[in-house]
Amino acid sequence: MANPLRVELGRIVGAHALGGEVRVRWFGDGPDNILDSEFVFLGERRDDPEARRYSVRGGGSGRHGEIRLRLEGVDDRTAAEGLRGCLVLVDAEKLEPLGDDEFYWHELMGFAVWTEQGESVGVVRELWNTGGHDVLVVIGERGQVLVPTARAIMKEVHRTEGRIVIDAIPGLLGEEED
Amino acid sequence: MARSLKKGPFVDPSLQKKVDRVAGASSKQVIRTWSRRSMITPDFVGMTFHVHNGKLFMPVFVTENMVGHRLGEFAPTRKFTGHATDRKVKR
Repeated sequence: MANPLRVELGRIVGAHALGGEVRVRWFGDGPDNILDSEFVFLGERRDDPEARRYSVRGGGSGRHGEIRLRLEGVDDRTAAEGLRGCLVLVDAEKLEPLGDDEFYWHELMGFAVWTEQGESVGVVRELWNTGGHDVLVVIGERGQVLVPTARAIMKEVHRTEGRIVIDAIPGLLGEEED
Repeated sequence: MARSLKKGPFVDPSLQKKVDRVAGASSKQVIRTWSRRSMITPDFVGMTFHVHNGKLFMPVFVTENMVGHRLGEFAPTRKFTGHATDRKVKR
């Protein structure tokens, strides 16, 4: 089960002005979780053991899809440019809690997918945003199976067990041609 | 320019035939289609379609707020490989 300690919320794409502010391109639904954080970790990947912790001293709006962030200890442009390319990580537990029917993408990654009949479909490797319901990309013995996250299909999500139960309607798992 | 109301919504006849067959059988069979241009009509609600995006079939579960849109709008032709972020899924 994927239960990451940290979640990547953005990437530092450059420096802003001369005072040490960094430009962060955010990945998710918005930059609120970055701006509301007391501190962030900067690393090369999500599970980077050498990710460094920085206190957030302030932030503001930036270019389209970006924010400006002022970090403790980054006081000039040279230091800010040195952070270019780093992922901005926060502790997963610091994200705002969601309702019963809402899930963060990172929560669902690695969940095992089962049918209501008890057949294993595979493991969630990715999620795709399609404009309608997001789609789980499940990799298993059948190869790649795409499962929409609609309530009618994704019947149960057991967070603690890391398990999703789906209604495998005929054709969904790709075994039947229409 | 909007389509004339007189004509009604456009749905490929081949797709409409499949929809009628599934609706008539009261089954939950996934309907496979290449017809991205077909408009979603109220009788599609609750059905699941596999809409071709040029490479693979994307599953589209139709809800009421999709009525009036085209099936292709929900099967993107380009894949964005994003990060496991704070993006949310709502069932």
